[in-house]
Amino acid sequence: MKRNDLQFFSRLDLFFIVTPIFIAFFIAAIPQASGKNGVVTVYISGELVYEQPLTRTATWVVKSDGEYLSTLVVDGSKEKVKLVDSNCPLKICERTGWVGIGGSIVCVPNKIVVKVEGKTKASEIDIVTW
Amino acid sequence: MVAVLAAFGVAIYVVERLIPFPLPVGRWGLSNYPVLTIILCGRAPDALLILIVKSVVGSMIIGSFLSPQFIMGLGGGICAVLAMWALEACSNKVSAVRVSVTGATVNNVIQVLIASAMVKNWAPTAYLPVLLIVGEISAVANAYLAWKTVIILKEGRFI
Repeated sequence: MKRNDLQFFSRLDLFFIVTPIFIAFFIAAIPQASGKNGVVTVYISGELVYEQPLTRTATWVVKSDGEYLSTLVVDGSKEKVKLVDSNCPLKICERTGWVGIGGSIVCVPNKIVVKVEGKTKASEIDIVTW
Repeated sequence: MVAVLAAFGVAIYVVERLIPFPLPVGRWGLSNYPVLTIILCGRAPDALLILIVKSVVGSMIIGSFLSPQFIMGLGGGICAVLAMWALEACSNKVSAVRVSVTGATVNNVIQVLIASAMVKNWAPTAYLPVLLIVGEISAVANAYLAWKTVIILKEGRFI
């Protein structure tokens, strides 16, 4: 133990505490740069593979190179989307549940990103999962 | 002492999963408490060792070894230890809260960047605000625990 002057808290720490909160609000305030409104988009590995209006109820099977990955469910009346029957090991994306406008679902093992693009408060981002 | 702290880290890593978290994925980060403790003792190189043992053994127990989650956790953790090490080395008067909050913030930012790189999309940054705020809460809790531990260790009151 070479240190004898260890404090729990000093006034300088307020700066270290406030900075991440500031960053958090800054990121939350960044508008989603997209002209689309009420559109569901699915990206695999950064490439747009599917797009449909949020108000149309539909299910779409997410595949990559013929391999089944997951199923996208869009509920037009509730204007929400979710992923079901994913083949990823932890199944956390299914626990995410329904995501509305401004939200996104991320599945890191399958490199799937589902976005519901539209103009609402950016803070309404529901959940990210993998 | 490193071995005891590493074992402690593994135990917290495994049990921590059971604590409810505001996002369906992620954890409070309380298993970083042993890492923080050893850094506050001025032994940052040992912190890397504890971090790696905790991540590897812990993820083997819960079955996420070498998964994207594991890579994100380890990558974020290593960057956090390096940041805390740098902060600690740059000043000889350092407070527990400052080191802890710096580590938590670096950890969260790096994890989200790794996730973004994996899916080749910036979408994961959307949940960085929640993570940063949650990270601050557990960082202060960790700082208090580690600070108390260091004091007790220094006084030789253990056992």
